[in-house]
Amino acid sequence: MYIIVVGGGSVGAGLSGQLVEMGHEVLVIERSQDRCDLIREDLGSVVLHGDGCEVATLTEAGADRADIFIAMTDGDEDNLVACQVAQHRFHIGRAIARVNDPSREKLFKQLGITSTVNAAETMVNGVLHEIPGRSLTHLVPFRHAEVNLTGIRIPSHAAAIGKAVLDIQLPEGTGVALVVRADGTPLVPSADIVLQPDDEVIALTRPEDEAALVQALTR
Amino acid sequence: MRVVIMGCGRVGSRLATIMDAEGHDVAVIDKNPRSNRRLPGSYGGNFIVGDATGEDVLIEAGIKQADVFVAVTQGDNRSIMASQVAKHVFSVPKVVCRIYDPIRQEIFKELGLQTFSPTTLLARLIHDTIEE
Repeated sequence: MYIIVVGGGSVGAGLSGQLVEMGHEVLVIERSQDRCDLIREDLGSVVLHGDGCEVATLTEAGADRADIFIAMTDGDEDNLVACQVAQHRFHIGRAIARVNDPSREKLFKQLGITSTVNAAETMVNGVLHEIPGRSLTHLVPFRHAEVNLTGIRIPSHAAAIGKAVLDIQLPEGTGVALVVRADGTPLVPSADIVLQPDDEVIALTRPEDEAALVQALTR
Repeated sequence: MRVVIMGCGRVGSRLATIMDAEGHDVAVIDKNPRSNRRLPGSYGGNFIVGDATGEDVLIEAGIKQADVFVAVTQGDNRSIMASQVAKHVFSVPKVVCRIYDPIRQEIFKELGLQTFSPTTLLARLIHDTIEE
């Protein structure tokens, strides 16, 4: 797929590296010449020096044949306008915007941006994941499907300990993706994977089923 | 009329002064606290320091009761974003947005904003003067 990434800061450049590794055709549009040079050193000639909100730059980037447009700058107004220009002038089907101020997420949705990534929320969740005593942490939200990838820590007193994870009655529609041992070993759930204290169960679940999932695994 | 103006530069301050003198209820928002020096001593409206792309700042300026919102900042994208907030979140009846970039101006006009580009206007004006 051809993916355009606007903003070559640490987030945009990191993302682009991953996308290149995945085999996608990537173009990073970056305003600072210094950052362009850095990215070119790391990733090769996948950089265009310019303003990703400008039609002239996007035309040069061949935006009309892009499959996905991602705006990753630290300016919400730039991300919003870049995505709107991409969607309405270049008819790119998927536009993803980083939203730096969480209160703006609703506006982006209302204005038709395909999806938003809330940097603050993601960071908060990442930190909360490291704090003991929380039974469930949101790892990744899947906004369109209304499900979250969640991590549930198994406390030492849980009735689920000693049971195979596949034998535990979970809310309908909830899927266990992985069991991660306290030492970090990931295990794909099977009949012989038996829960131990301090395991983390990685599960896909709907928000309304979270309470029942936590009950089933931690009580 | 209740008018909220984003940007207290030359155009914003001038517009605020005119509308205030006409008896309208005016509030000007600017990020720079010193920009109010462009408003004359006779100005009787409000001056609010803040970023008008934020809903809280717009509310403080009285956006909920506003009849008109005008965005005249130096940053096209900030003006566009605030105008869309005024139009789509607060349903302000008349929203006017200055966009320097003529192409971006066309796009957001198509998307329902009342926009104008001083770049295009001035070029046309100069052209017409030459042709006269």
